[in-house]
Amino acid sequence: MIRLTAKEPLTCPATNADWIDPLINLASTATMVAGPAGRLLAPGAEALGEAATGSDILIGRSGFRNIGEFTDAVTAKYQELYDESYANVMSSVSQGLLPNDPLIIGNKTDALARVDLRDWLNAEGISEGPGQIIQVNRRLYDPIGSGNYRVPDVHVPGSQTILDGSLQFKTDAMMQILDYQAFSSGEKVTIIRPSTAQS
Amino acid sequence: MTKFPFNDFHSFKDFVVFVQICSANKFSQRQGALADTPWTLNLAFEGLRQGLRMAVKEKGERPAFAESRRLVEEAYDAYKFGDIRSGFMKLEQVQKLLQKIPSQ
Repeated sequence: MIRLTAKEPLTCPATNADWIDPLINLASTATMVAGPAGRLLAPGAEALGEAATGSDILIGRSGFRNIGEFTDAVTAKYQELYDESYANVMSSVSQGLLPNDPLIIGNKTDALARVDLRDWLNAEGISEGPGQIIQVNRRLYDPIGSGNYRVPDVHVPGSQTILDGSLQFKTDAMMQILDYQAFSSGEKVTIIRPSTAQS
Repeated sequence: MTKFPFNDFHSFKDFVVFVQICSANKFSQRQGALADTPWTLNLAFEGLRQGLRMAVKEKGERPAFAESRRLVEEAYDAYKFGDIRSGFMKLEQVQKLLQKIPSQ
């Protein structure tokens, strides 16, 4: 049994980007707008999951059995942290420390939730960053080389999943979402909104 | 020594906001392996100091970092004396200073 943590570099063939290349085109393109997050596995993630389970690989200290299970945990955790962060930021607004400006509230909530997610990843022993199993607030470049990029809050390349926190509803017709999909070759985009936010 | 939730200057920028919003007593509970080193004002500011040292290593010394170090110590003193508004505003200045330095 192999357990992937930050102290055990991703050197196994079944643990890095090479492993997912054959599966990269399996996921369907979809955009989900979620309040509390639901189940988010794409077909590609299911396939990866079977491969991981077959290799008896565990991800993190919680021992997620495959990339799909890990992605589900990240999505649920990010929703939970986004809710807590939003409440925390609104508390600062109530105290008169921050203006009641949706742009400022959104930016602060995003930053706070990302820190808490990184702390959770640290506790799990999972590395974050370019080339890692998960990327938090990292640039996603246009693959045709235009130099354009977007910065999703959370990106799990192995399950072709992008999570982006927002106070507003977003649709897949919006330029930001279109870019996420174009720059990632059609990955699934889920908008994470505070559960208590008004529409 | 606890591990802080940043690994480069880019992710450190978010940490400044975290300390600003959560100080002095709104910190979230840490989980799993980090549960035995809960967030406190002292730990959070230790993270800010460590992050600024890391920033200098990554980007080189800059006036914005020196100014940020001064503001961080002033913010720490303000929070310690219960002046949350002053601490909050000083960390807002730190965030604005660091935001001007490109990272990815």
